Amino acid sequence: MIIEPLASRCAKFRFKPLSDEIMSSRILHICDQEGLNLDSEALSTLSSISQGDLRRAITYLQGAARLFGSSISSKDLLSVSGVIPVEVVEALYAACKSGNFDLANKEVNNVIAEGYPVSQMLSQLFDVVVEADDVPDEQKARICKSLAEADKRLVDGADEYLQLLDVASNTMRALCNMPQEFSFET
Amino acid sequence: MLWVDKYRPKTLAQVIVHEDIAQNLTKLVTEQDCPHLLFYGPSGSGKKTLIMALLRQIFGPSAEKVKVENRNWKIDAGSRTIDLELTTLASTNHVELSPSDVGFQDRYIVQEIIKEMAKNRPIDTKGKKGFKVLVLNEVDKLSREAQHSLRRTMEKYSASCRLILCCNSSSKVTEAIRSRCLNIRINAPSAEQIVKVLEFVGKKEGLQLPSGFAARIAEKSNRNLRRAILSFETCRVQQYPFTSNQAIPPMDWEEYISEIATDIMKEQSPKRLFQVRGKVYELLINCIPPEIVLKRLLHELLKKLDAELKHEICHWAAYYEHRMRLGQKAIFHIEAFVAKFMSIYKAFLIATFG
Amino acid sequence: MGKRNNIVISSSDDEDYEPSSRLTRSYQKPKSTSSLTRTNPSRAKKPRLPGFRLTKQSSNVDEMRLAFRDFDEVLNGFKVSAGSRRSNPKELWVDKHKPSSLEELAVNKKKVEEVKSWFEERLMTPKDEVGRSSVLILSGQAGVGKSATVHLIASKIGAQLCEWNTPTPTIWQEHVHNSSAGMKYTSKLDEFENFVERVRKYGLISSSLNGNSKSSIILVIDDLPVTNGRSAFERLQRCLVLLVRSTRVPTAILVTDYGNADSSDLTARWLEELQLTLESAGASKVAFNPITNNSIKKTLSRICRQELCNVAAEEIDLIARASGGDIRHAITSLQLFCLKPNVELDLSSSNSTPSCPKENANVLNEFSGGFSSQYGRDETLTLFHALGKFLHNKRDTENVVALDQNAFRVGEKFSRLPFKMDSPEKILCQAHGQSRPITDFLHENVLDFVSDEAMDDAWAVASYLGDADLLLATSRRTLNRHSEIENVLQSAAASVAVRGVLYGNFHPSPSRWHAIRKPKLWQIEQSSSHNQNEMLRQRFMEDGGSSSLSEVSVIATEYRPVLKWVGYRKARDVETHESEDESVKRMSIDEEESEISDDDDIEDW
Repeated sequence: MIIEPLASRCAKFRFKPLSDEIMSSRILHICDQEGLNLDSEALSTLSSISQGDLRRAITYLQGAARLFGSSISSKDLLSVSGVIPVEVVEALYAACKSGNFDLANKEVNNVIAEGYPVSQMLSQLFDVVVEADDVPDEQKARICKSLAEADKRLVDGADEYLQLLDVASNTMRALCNMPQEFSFET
Repeated sequence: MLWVDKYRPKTLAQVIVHEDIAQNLTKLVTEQDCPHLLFYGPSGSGKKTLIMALLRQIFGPSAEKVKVENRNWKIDAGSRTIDLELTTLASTNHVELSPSDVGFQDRYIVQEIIKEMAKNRPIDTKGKKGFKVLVLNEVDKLSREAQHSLRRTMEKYSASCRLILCCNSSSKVTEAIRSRCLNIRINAPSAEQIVKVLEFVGKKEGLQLPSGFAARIAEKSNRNLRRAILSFETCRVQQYPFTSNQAIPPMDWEEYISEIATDIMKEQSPKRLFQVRGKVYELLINCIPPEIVLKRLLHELLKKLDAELKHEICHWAAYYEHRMRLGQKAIFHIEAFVAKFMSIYKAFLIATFG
Repeated sequence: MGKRNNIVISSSDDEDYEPSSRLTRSYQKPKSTSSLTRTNPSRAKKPRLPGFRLTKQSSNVDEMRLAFRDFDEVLNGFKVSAGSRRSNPKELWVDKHKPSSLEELAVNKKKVEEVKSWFEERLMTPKDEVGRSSVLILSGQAGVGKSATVHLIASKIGAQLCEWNTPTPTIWQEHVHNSSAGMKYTSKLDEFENFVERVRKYGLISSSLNGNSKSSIILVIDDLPVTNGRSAFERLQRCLVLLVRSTRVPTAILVTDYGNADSSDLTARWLEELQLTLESAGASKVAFNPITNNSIKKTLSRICRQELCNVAAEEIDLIARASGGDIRHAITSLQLFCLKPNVELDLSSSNSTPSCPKENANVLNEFSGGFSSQYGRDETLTLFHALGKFLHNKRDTENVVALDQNAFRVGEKFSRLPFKMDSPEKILCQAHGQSRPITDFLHENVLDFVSDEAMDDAWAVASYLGDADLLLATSRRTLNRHSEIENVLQSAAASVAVRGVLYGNFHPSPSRWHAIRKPKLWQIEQSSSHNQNEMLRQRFMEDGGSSSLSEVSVIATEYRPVLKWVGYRKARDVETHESEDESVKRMSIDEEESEISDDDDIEDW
């Protein structure tokens, strides 16, 4: 936030996030120069994971090239960026929807075992929940609150498994319409 | 020597479980200049093994000749000098250490070491390897200041010093560092992969494995390869020839926690809470980390609980573990969790059975 | 006053002197009222700020300041500074009434005999007898007579006393001045090491002025230099061990014990470790106990007579008891008391003393905290008293006063009966309780006082103690030790802990006799950190063939239990880990013939 007196004395240049075409063309130019081979699926993946940030996109590209060579697939880009594959997020979400605690626990254990960073998982879960059409707003609010708390706790250094399990539990209870208060709360 | 170490792959070519990653790493260091690396993944998945094999790939066999050094660092921090003590492991081309061992002053160590390494830059013999490698363990335990100073030092000395960072969870590593490194995720091996390794070790040791035995060990190890091999070896010591339904001994502390869980389920009272406290003290004396105590206790309790309680209990476990991180004395929070559980469970029993 | 030939070796940081140890002399003529100084009187000592030592997270700094302001008022111009020994007609009684003979010592006679015979023995034996250390460690709490004993014994057996006093640390301005004058900064530890080296190599040269070149010499090291950090401590330790092993001069090292400190008090732990190390290197040790109340009373009465002060016997008794075995403190209290004769002894016992019996070594102080706060020294006396109140949680069941109309109404389950004691904060204040120990004590003991059916109460109590722990952790993290914020956090934490226990314990167990225990947690923490250090030391060994470091948690949870089963002993020489043959084929389970060319021995099962 810039204070008004300061802002009013300046000429402003607004930079918007780059559009997909501009990004893609630049990326393709770089691929050309570096002798890289990028299929169209990989290209669109790159756009989505970099979220309009060209520098990030180039970094991911370079990382993938170093690790995987000149022929880069969508999967390679995902693994370099640390973005969690959609199937994994979906699996966790589905487990929560099912109302089966043990199943959700299993999925959470899987996420940890695969080494995916939980803060990233929370962020991706957030996207899934917010965009879900079949979930009423009240439930979404409950889930988001739980995500925020867990994120804060992770920053404080809390254990990843326990926080993700808590999120999964809260998500399940929201989606299955269980009451928010615990039954044996004193 | 333990089997874990005896059969640990020494070169990238020998790696069984993460073959693809090993291949990529080989390509990485032979074809190009090695960037900073960040290896992350759960415990016992093979990060260290890969790092050591990688070092060997870069520097050759001399990377394995390591010397332990217990150094005292005198660091000039402006108005005062700080005295720190740290154990390092060094070969001619690399240094390995765990900066979080020194506690909250870890940032000084990081700066000092890198500065020192930068000063003694090795001669460029093969035209490529004019740099030293610094391996930092447990970077997720580094304080935020340490991570910031690491980032700055990384930039400044990147010509002469490459960093290989190792941690369990990359969430705790700041974005700045993650973006300056090539992040390599080392996932825990699947049960089948573990079985493969166990069969390999069994063959090398000349042992007969009944069918399904290796699978049982793999399952019990919870996708932790190191655990699986250690368990395997204890089974061998216990009884050989193996029988297919031979009991796989758990770790002693896990059994102890299981007993605690049973105690808690049997009686819920302040007196019982006090007894539980005594048992937890036993675990703490043996340096079992408190968060592992809490997690394992939760695991044992969840096994025995009805569905409706599971949600409530895991909520409190997450709550108290978080507070344990922020607090000073872990026992207070572990005890609060147990007390809460007892309180809830007692209410549950009364409500259900009257 | 006895004749004392003191040769004082101390390091000075004055502008007049070079910052290296030098021998200075101070001669005392036998005189009864001259002030005795033990350090060079011409040295300009910088007076410390009054009250400097007191602002240690005490929540009643004001009370202390008040007490000392009185002191100042009465003896104007006399600053309470450590080490200031100006010749002053209004001097401290501690110095004025120093014991002049062994009989006057308040220390236990047997102890004095023990020390005396040790010295006599050492001085008799011919110098070249090896195998017995000439170092004696005298340990004990402050003000218990260690220094006085050694001085008197030396004069009694006619030995010359050489003394090392830890000099005042260099203040920043001095250092700046010195360094601009080209003088390098030497730490007190450096100077101490130099001194010890010299003593070892060259022995001690007796003063030639004395004329008696063959007289025996005793060396006294009074108070070790402060060490900051582990490596400095180890330097000190090494240097002292060397002294123990090699010196020929009978030496006494005086060490002040800190008593039952929290294990997180590093200084206390290190001192203990130091003592153990020195003892195992061969030093002898004599522990001085706190001086008995009777001895203190005798001394106080004697001083009263000499100073022509009229003090009643009960008052002397109170002062003696409040001093906690520290006779220096008792004498000072007496002096203060005598100067303000119209100070009312606040003996009002508005608080009904709980039925906590005296069951352990720390005798409960049954008198009101008001008196103890001015003269009390040992906080744990009143601490147990306060803890007893908090834990027993006595409430007013009769005389329930009708609620004030404006009073805030809380829900049924939140309301509690009124206290049968003063406000908890006041009690905390009087007990000089520090938040961390109080929280730990409460944690250790509270479960005994909760009724066995009240599980919810147990949780409430545990939860509040957890909150207090959080507050304390935050305050610990702030490195700025003198900030106001930290004091607030500490006080808040203590309040939360105490009130949490009082509030949470809704159904206290019917009053039974309960001993209040010291927190077991402290000992657990010590053992655990010791074990952790062991593991860290061993961690490379544990790995054996691997050439990397393991985490402590992995060692504790995985390696150690397995090693217990497998029973391995690591004999591997870690430094010469040989590399493998270059011709290593790719390991594949499909190839039956693949062999690893391994230099390792494979044990036969």
